[in-house]
Amino acid sequence: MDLHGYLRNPFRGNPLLKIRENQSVEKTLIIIKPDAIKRGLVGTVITVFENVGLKLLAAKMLKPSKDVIKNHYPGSSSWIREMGEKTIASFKQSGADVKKKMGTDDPAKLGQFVYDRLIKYWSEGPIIVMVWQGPDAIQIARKLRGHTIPLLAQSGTLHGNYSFDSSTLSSSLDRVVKTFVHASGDVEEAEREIKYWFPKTEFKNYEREVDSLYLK
Amino acid sequence: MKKQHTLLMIKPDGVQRGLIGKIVSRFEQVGLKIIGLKFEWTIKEKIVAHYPETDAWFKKVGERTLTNYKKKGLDAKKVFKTDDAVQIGRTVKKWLINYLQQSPLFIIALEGYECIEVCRKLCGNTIPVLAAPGTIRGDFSYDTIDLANEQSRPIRNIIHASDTVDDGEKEINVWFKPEELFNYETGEEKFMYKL
Repeated sequence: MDLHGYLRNPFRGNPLLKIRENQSVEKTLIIIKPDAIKRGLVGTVITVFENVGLKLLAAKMLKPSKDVIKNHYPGSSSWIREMGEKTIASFKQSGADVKKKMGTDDPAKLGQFVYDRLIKYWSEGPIIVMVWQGPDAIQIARKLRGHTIPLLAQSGTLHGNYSFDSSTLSSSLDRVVKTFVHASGDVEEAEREIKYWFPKTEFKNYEREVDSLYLK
Repeated sequence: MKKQHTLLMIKPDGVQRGLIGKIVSRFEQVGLKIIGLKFEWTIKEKIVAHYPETDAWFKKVGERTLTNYKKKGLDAKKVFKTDDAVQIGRTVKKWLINYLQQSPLFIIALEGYECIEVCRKLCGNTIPVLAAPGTIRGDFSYDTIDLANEQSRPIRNIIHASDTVDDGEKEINVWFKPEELFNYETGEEKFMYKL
């Protein structure tokens, strides 16, 4: 049991109570990246979120400029450092020497390296950005997407089932790990990302087949 | 040979029943390319622009109903208060305008050789009860014209696909701006035909 989660929110596990308090129906931002589109996985990704009962509120295909991609991320120096630290951690986990492979073990430098190549990855073709809504949508979407790094993602998840990519493979090819489904990490991130990709958009609700069974 | 373009529209029955992903997969599987995609609420003007505002279109739609009624020995006048094909077509269009605003629409621009025919084949007969198994309409619906008319609503056939090459270009123009369409190469293309 997620004790910390429970302490933060004692209504966890009781969706009805939460919905009445309007705490639980969340929106999350999902992005299908160029490689997934080129592999014909658009329908597969949508099916996973549709089947679990989440409701699609908006979607569009676009090819954002480098600046638009760049500003999807917080981009602050502490955030860049954090990315570098994540890279170091994932190298450690796979037993590889980060300094040997990347030429540095400075988190700020590694972070900037990853940031530049992230933008390159996003620019490989058009992407599809979507807003999905439902009870605990953020947690549900993250669970179904699986671990950020496909090699470490469990089978049954999108990243686990549809890719073998890993930190060691990607760094040997001078690119980032192709995380072909993006899903917002938490409520704040979701709010910021939805506002960023769908500015001034009002998301009007409509009825899905699951609504009368679970949400009434 | 030139590539063709089809406009697909997943209608509210497909959206509200949670069938978007399954339908999109069928077109991806066959190797057609998604060059534009959006999911949004529409307005009356766009629907009016989408379905031709011509007597020929109204007549085509009206005659579909009349033929079916004749076959079943039913009287069109009872539902439509007329047996004029054009008038019946106009009524059906009014129903469509209402219906297509019940949920957002999932709209796709597809590209490929013989795209028009391939899409129509995958969608199946316009009337779901007549659509073959293996087609989208045959597998996901069984609606009939009689039932739809009796309930004063358009037939729920899940998806629209452009009828002709010209319609494809025209309809994509209605729903997409040029900058919303993209050119790229899929992973499979080079194994399917010479690039």
